[in-house]
Amino acid sequence: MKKYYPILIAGFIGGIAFIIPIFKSLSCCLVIPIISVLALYFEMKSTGRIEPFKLKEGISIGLFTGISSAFFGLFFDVFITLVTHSNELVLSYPQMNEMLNTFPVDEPTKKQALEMIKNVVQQIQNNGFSSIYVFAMLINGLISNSIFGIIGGIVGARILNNKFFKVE
Amino acid sequence: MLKIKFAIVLILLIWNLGNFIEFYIHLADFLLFFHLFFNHLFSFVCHQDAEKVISFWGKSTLLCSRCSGIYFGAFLFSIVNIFTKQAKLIKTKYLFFAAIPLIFDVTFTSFGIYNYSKIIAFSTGILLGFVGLEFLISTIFTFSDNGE
Repeated sequence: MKKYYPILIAGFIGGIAFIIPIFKSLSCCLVIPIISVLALYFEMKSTGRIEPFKLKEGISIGLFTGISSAFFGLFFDVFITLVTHSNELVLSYPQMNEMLNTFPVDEPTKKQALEMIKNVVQQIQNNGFSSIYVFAMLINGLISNSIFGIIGGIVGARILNNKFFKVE
Repeated sequence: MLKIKFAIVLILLIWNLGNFIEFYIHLADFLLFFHLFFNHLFSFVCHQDAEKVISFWGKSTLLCSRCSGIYFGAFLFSIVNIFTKQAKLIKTKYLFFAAIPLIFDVTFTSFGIYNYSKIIAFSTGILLGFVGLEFLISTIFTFSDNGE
């Protein structure tokens, strides 16, 4: 279990970063790559590593850090939504409505899209939870965090190898 | 090798087309659902602040100017990469040099030293996206060449 601590700790930090708006707005897509580098650094320190990282280590640590951050981020988001009965989707719904009206698509398509979003928003406002929203968040989080996690893992392996093992 | 290079171009092309979907959404009704998909997908990687997105002709990108720059820069490198024979290993310091203008821009605008400029954000993003992808690809190929 101990060997997963670096991934879980970095994923936890990433999950927190996703719910702090100012941090999220400042760092954009850099959050996941940075926490992947952090996970590699934690791994290096916790195991007292004496040899450079290999590519597959960078990729696997980055991938699992991305996945763990997706779960932590989702957990925090679901918890806050459950308490507040509101989230970014609920807040942006009025603008989404206006935005859809500006699109040059036919009425039935527009209505169908609006109805789908409206159901999710109503579920969140009434129960503080929507399974469709959670599912969509999880899928999106897993895809995007895995990709950026792998990128961060590869870049991180190279940076740490260069800095601590003098390997270019 | 060439197949991988074309795959990278294709992925980044789809990503960038998703960013500019509002500019051609009128071409087909089904694009509305792609708009919703990309909008939600991009919300994971960008704040999508309405004041910071690139807007012209009454249409906007889904990503902010900085992120648009990063992905556009990466796309530009992916095209250049097709015409280069072998990925040349670039030093780590060049990645940091490429990131410095973007970091300064983020810092200066956050502390109100100067106002947010879409052109500066987009340009600094292009630089990091271009060099960042070059660094990433050269790192992967170097690791691969070492039998890893």
